[in-house]
Amino acid sequence: MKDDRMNPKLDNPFNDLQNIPPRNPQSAAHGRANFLAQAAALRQAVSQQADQRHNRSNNTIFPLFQRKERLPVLNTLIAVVLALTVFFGGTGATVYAAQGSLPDQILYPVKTWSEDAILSLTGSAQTRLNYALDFSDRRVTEMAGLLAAGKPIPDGVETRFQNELDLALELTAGMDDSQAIQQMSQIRLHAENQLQIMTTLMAGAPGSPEPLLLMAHSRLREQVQLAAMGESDLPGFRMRVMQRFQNREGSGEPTPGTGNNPQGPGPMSPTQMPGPSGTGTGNGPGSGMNQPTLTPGQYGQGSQMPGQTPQSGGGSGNMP
Amino acid sequence: MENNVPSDPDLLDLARKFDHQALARIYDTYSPGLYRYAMRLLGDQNLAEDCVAETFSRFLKALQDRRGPDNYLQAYLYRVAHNWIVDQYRRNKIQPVELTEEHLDENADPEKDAGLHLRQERLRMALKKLTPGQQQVIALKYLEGWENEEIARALKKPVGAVKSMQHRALATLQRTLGSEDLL
Repeated sequence: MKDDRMNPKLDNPFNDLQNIPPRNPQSAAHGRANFLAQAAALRQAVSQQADQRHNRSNNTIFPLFQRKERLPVLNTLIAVVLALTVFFGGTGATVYAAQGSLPDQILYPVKTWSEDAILSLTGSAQTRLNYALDFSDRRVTEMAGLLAAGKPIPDGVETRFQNELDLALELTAGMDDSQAIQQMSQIRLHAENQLQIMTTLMAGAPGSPEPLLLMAHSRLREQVQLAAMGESDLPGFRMRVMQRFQNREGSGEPTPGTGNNPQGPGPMSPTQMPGPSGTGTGNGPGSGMNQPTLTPGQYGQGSQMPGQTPQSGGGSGNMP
Repeated sequence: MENNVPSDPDLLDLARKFDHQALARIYDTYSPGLYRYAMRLLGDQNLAEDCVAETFSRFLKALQDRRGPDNYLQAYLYRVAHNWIVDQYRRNKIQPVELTEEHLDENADPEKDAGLHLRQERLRMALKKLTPGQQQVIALKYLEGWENEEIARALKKPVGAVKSMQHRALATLQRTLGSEDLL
């Protein structure tokens, strides 16, 4: 570089310009938040444009599923939902077009209905977990889009978001140990990314952040802590998840997994609840999950948690 | 050095889909350097923040319009930022910044800081007398430490042309600064 310099005397002023005050962290965070909010809003706009293009075009059924914005894992079951919808006289294109909608738009209920249907039709815990994480990402994007448009976050969005986070925890708690630990880091990393986005959104919000945004932020912090706990103390994690599940059941919150709940599918279907013995067939609801007198101490070694795949052995998983 | 980070085509592919994490990573990677670049040329923290914000906003709009960089994201972003800075120069919005308390470290020598501030402002004024291309060559070369090949990529010019611009820019600077008896 020095060979390029015509006059060594110029070194001094150039060095002077290297000396600048550090960037204000608040300004930097604000700029970052604005950028990401703008990106979220544009993403929504691009999705809607894609939907409009789709509706105007004469695409065949296969290009229908080649939309770039879609999460790849959704394609198969969206196809099933579409096929069923068309078969039963509905409009599959409407379901598809709804996927990029925001909560304040008319097609949003179709979007949430299709998500619930997908979760209801999915049997594999691993696949359900992937969907739960994908859908929770959608909620974050929706919140960012709403904030960017200066609109309030509806209560239902935040509730669905919390239910999807709960579902992820409970599905993981029900997996066998090695799979659960493997998925725990995925959940933690997912939550950390979402937490970062929430933090950015809160920093960019004019005035005080919305209470629902604060709740979502707080819930994500808890999600990170629980997943981290699961990585180091799986039995303790299962106990915590069990307690959370029981608390929610006791509070009369919506029954999860029904598919007709406007606040989302919720964590678990009652039909997936294994018995407390951990040795049943796992095809029916275990008695332990809904026992109000059940204490954490009753879940000893070999016990099962919501969604856990039952182990082979004696006993019945179909206990009343 | 930051400019040694290769542009990641995969990252750009994700950015074109407005992937949140990819865009956040791009912002976190390049915004600090762009801020420093703007700050060195503009000497005003608010304008430097505006420059960064506008650069990334134009980047997003380019992505929305299916334009934007193919490979060299850093070169693209600095080109956009410099164009914005040149626009500010042309609009004559850049005025020498008054020395305020925020420019001075209370533990430092105020006389020394004031002298530094004055020299910075005079160099910025000298840089403004260069053509936009010359300004960019000098800024990227001597303030950001880029190699000629990287500058050529940012300016979309041959390396020989960059060297020629650099030669003329330094000669002009030498005359300008010499005439002001700065050195």
